[in-house]
Amino acid sequence: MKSVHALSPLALPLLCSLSFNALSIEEEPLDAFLDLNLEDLLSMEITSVSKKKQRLSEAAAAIFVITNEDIRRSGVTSIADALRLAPGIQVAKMDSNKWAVSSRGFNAQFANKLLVLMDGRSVYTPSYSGVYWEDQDTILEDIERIEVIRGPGATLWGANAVNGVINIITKSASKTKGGLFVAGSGDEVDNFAHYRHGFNLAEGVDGRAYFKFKQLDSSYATDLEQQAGDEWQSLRAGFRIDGNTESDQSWTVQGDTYQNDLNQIIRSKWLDPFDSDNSLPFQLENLNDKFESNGHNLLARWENPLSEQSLTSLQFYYDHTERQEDILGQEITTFDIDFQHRYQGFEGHDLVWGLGYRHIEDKFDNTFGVGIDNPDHLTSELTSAFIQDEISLKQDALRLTLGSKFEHNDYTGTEIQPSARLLWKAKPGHTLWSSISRAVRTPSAVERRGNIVGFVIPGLGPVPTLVSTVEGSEDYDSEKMTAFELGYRITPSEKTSIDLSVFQNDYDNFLSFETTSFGAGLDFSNIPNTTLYPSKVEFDNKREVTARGLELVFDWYVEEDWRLQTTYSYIDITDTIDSDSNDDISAEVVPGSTPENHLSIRSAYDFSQKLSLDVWVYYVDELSASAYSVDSKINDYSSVNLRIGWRPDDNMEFSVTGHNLNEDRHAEFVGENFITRTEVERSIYAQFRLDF
Amino acid sequence: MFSGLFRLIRYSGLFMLFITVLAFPGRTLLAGSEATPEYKLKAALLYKLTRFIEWPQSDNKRFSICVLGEDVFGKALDSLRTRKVKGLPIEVTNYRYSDAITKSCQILFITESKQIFLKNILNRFHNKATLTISDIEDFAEQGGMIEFTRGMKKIGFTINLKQAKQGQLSIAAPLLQLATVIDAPQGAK
Repeated sequence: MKSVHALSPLALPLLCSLSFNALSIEEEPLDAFLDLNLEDLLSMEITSVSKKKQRLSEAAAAIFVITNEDIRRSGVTSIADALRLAPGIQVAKMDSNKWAVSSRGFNAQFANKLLVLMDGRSVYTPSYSGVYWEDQDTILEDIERIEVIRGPGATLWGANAVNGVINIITKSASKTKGGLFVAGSGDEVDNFAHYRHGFNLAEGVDGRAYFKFKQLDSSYATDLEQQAGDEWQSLRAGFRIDGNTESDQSWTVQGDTYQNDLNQIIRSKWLDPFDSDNSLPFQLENLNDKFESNGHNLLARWENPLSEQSLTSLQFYYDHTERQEDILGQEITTFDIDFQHRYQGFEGHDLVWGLGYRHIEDKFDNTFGVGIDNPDHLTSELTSAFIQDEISLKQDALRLTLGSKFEHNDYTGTEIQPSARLLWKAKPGHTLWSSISRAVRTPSAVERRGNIVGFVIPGLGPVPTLVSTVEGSEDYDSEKMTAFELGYRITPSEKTSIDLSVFQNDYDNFLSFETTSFGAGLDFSNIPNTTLYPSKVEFDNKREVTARGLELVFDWYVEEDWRLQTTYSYIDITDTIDSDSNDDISAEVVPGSTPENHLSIRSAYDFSQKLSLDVWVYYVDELSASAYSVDSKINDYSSVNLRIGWRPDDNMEFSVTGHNLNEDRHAEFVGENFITRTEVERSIYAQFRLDF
Repeated sequence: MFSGLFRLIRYSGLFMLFITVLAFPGRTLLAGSEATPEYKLKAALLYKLTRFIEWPQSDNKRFSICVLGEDVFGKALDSLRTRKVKGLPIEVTNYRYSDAITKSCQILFITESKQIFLKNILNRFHNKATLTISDIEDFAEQGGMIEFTRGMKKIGFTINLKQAKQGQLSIAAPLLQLATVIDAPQGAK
């Protein structure tokens, strides 16, 4: 992490880009200005609001920025894999088209405590609480940066920003003029090609459009000892238009549409034993499921500076996603409107407040195995308000940030999520910060009214058939968390920087699974005896959890052309269960789905302007259990990744990237019983890039 | 319907590449990132300033502009490479840290990212014929030669004449008239 990146102010998720009103400067090439005289140059207006950029080294939060350059040089081909660059983030591949990504622990395919935004649009699926990472994509070359904030961001971003917020920020259209063509081929990333063209549409208005195709090979199925049949392909197109008006307003309109054709092998699918069409043992195993996931979205944002100290921002978006898996179909439509106002008119205060409204419509196609009660139309509404003030004390050497979010949702009512942060610039190059904050994770539709079949035990003679289910509960409440954080950033020299953060997260009302009824079922190992099995398990909140950890980033320019970045993350999770709880399902998974130690060392070396070599090695500790429903121990693993890039010309690059070169394959994560267990294989691909 | 489309795209990948290369032959090829308008203007000012400054005699074959720190100019300085200053072709070099600057720079632009190391950097170039320029706040007062300042909408200059003289640089009167001129010793603030 370089301390030099100008950040979108942490305080301003929406007001994130500097807006310029320099129409002519923006459009014309520099050459046009070199022959003007000095007086003319000095009389040119560049911006109305002399906004102070907030530097990474001055944020009172654990922030790590993945730059466009970092993404390019790591050779990753997906956003989820790019997040492996950040400390404190757990990224694990479940199969070729599924990732489990979490921040500061509790990883799962539906890791529910991490909020993810793409250009201000939430891609967190509230009905299922999680992010479908295979659906989140764009042209990676057009991503300006990914801001990874570990720890709660709920005061600004609201519920579910419990353990972290990931802001994926694409470049303004004014920065992507011209064409970009990238194509490549490999053994795991089979084929891909994408094309973007950016152009000037009118005075002060730039736009770009892109098209992307990728085709990915299957992973290895551990249990089946063959290819896992989870190959997939993705087709995506989108645009972005950015404009400035003469009165210094700026606006953005952007949209995407995608279709993913996916495959998976469902390890176990239960059939309705009371349906006469079905026969013993009412279970299908290793079922090939070919399914489709598609969606589209449209976002508009308008920023209006009222004065030098006052800036408003209004954002609207529409997002629609559909996903038809064999076990469940989902259709989600979201409308969101957000208003923010930043006011710096009071000396020593940087005030931001905002209002938000979100309307979500869900539709589910239930199956016997997974369903949501009242599935046809679930509508939920979310209204929110927040206020935050950053107060400068002691000539700006000390900064106190106080704020809170007030949010109302249909399930749990009003949630208040305050935070206090203190930043102390001890001396040049030394920044100390600390924070106390509270965040909540609101229930998903599944946790409130879901119905998942755990297993079916066919009856025989007098013993009736037993169907054991896991069910949502109307009493299921928000998980609540109080976080204590402390951070220290040092820049000892021009070549080195160190960023250390430690945290303790205390959760109460944490998810537990309570068995609320038992039923007699045939004991197949000892027929004709019967045994008592849990017949109904409900989502409940009878657990308290404490997570403690530290993250360290050490950035070092060994030489002008050689950068070494080392990150290390440690986490320790302990939990206690309420005395009236009978949960023996999730006890192992709560601490067990997160690697205790995670080390990453990345070397970026330039032999010359034309030839570069990147070496990236990371170690991920073992997982004792990653899934409730199956034996899911994962061994620790190391991964060696190499990339060689050759630029014969400034506008052209050939590269060869190898991922996981040190072994044939390794497992990273096992999900719940639905999909077969897979391993990530060694992969190599070659790529050609042309800027024109 | 879509699987057919996919196949089409897959096999047309190379064809697209071919077309792309053919369709845009000889266009100005761009690489690196686009600078913000602010830095585009500052890049133009850097170039323009050279008209008003006299460096001591030397046998340099090139006019060297060095940028220290974050790559704020991106592609903006590229078009300077085709121009000349005092009859010498311009050479632009980016440096991540000051130790790496081993050659002589006629202009050294220090980006804001180097603020906390400014004192050390200025010490290094003290009494050298290197015109130090930066947009770091109070740069001129701290012993830099030319500071780009920001008004509400426009860019201005503060020139520390004392430092320029110590580097044996002479600054022409028309430039001084456009600037705020101060005389501050190094490390004054």
